[in-house]
Formats: sequence, structure tokens, C-alpha cells
Amino acid sequence: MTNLYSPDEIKGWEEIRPIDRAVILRGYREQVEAELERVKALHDECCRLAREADDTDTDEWKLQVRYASGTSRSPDVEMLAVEDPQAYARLYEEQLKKWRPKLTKTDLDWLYDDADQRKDMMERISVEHMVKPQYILVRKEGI
Amino acid sequence: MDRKITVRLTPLELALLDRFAADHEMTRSEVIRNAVTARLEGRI
Repeated sequence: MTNLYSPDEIKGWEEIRPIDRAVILRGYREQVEAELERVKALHDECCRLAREADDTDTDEWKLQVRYASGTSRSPDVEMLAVEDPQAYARLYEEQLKKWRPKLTKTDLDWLYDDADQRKDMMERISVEHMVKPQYILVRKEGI
Repeated sequence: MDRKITVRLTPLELALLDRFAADHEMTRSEVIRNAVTARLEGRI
């Protein structure tokens, strides 16, 4: 159990200096986010156990499992340095001006405006992520 | 030698591959690579 409370409901909330209220709310938000993470982990673990036991159906709900991230790919800046050092140098120079040391799909558009070459480079410098199950509880229709 | 190979799978095969990969905390490529290696070594 957590001891989450809503700080804006406490007595005298409006009398606190705005900056202090902001600090309190920031701390509150961190707690809420941590609690969300915890509950999501609990939820996923219960769904995993349900699937393992092949007990995935109730009167109102059924469990669906989808698999995500297996196909999602993001560019890898280190691979770009290996595969195309000249493009890497251009990117590095450009990003130094912007203070943005990373590689995105937008950068690839900029680096490889030829569509075919861009697709090829995406393949070469992409990172494959682990396939992860997504558990979705679906409410049955007509209930 | 080209480092990449292309594997064509049916939607059902892909779903089974994803399920296996997720159950073993692997990527799709790792599963395929292990399967190919096992076949080459005569383990399956």
C-alpha cells in the first residue's frame, strides 16, 4: 500500500507560495509515476501467471497477448560511425551546433535524402529490440 | 560476405516466432540465428 494523497486537497493549499506548491506537486508527481510503474508491473505479472495457467477468461473480461518491439527499430549512432564515417562526421558537426548528440529518423532523412539509400542505411544501422509481450484485458462485448 | 539474410514467414509463423522470442526474452533475429546454428550443427 502507498500513502498517496492529493496535495491540492490539503487545507491552506492556496496560501502556500506558488514555487513551494510547484515543488510539492513535483514530488507528488514522482510518487504517482512510481506507483503507476509498480501497479503496471503487478498487472503484467498477474496477466503472465493467468496466461501460464491458461486461465484467461472471466464473465466480463478476456486476456489478449500481443507481442511488441520485435519490429520496432531505432537508428544506432555507433553503427553509423562504422557504416558511413563521412555521414557520421557530417551529423556530428551538425549536432554540435544544435547541442543534440543523438541520431533520429529525421537525421537520416537529412543525411540520406535519396529514398533508396535511406532505406538501406536504416537496415544497416538499426537496433533490434527484444520481443516483449503486451497484456491487454479486453471487456467482452454486449455486457 | 553479406551479413544479412532475409527470412520470409507467414503471419502465423511470425506470431509463433514472436511468442517464442518473448517467452525467452530474445529478439527475432536471435531466435532465427539460434535455429539456423542448431540446424547447421545437426542438433535439430
